[in-house]
Amino acid sequence: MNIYREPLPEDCPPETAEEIARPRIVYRRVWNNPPVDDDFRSQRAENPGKEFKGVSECRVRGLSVFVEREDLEELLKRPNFKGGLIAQVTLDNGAGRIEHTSRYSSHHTWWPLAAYNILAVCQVLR
Amino acid sequence: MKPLGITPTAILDYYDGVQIFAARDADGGDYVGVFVGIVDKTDRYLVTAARPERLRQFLDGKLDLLTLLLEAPGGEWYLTLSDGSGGDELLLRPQQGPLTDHDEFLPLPDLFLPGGPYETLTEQPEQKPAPAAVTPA
Repeated sequence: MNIYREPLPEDCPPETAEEIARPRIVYRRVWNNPPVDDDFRSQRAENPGKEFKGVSECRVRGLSVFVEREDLEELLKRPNFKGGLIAQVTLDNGAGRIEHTSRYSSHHTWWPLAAYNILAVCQVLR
Repeated sequence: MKPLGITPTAILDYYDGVQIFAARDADGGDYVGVFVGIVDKTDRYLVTAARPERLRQFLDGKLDLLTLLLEAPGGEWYLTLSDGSGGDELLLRPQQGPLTDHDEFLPLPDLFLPGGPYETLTEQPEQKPAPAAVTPA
């Protein structure tokens, strides 16, 4: 049985999410160099009181990542992300499940398995 | 006075939560909201009204977010918390002073949306076929 990094609701991740079985690179905004565990907390862990129409509990318990670095560069123009850092993360077998969750960018939602050592496979690029 | 409420109509940008959204008030006025940080463990958004034609340009990727926010009618701007207290509505708190004094709430210049398609949150009314012309007997 897969144990995820954070407790997930039933039917989460969705069946449409791909099980990560081969190495791939994704990019995530982090605040620390080197990154720390807090850089990989879900929105629900960060904001227990968060509610937003149309956003599922499954989604708020995943981590946002981009496949294209350029998309993350654009993200850092948002007010809350000014000063953020770009980390490259290598996902491989055992990393969990991932799903493309945008119709206009390379945004993916990643549900990491608890046993996957994220900090060992990520590095800050800038 | 009843607080002004808006209902999100589309998620325009998402990363670890809703970053930018479009919304409407009960009178059909358009708004745009931008995530600016976390307060009391819930998300806080900067919200301004937007003229329909300028919002359209923003959605089409032809107008940048900073310009849109600073063009708000009357220079009025609001903050809101997405804590569910207004149900599907977000309750707006009017703010004093010019928005330009609050750099912490403003995006960098040249933040353009990619032009969609976006995640629509409101149900679109079903288009009914026009009634057939009645031919007098």
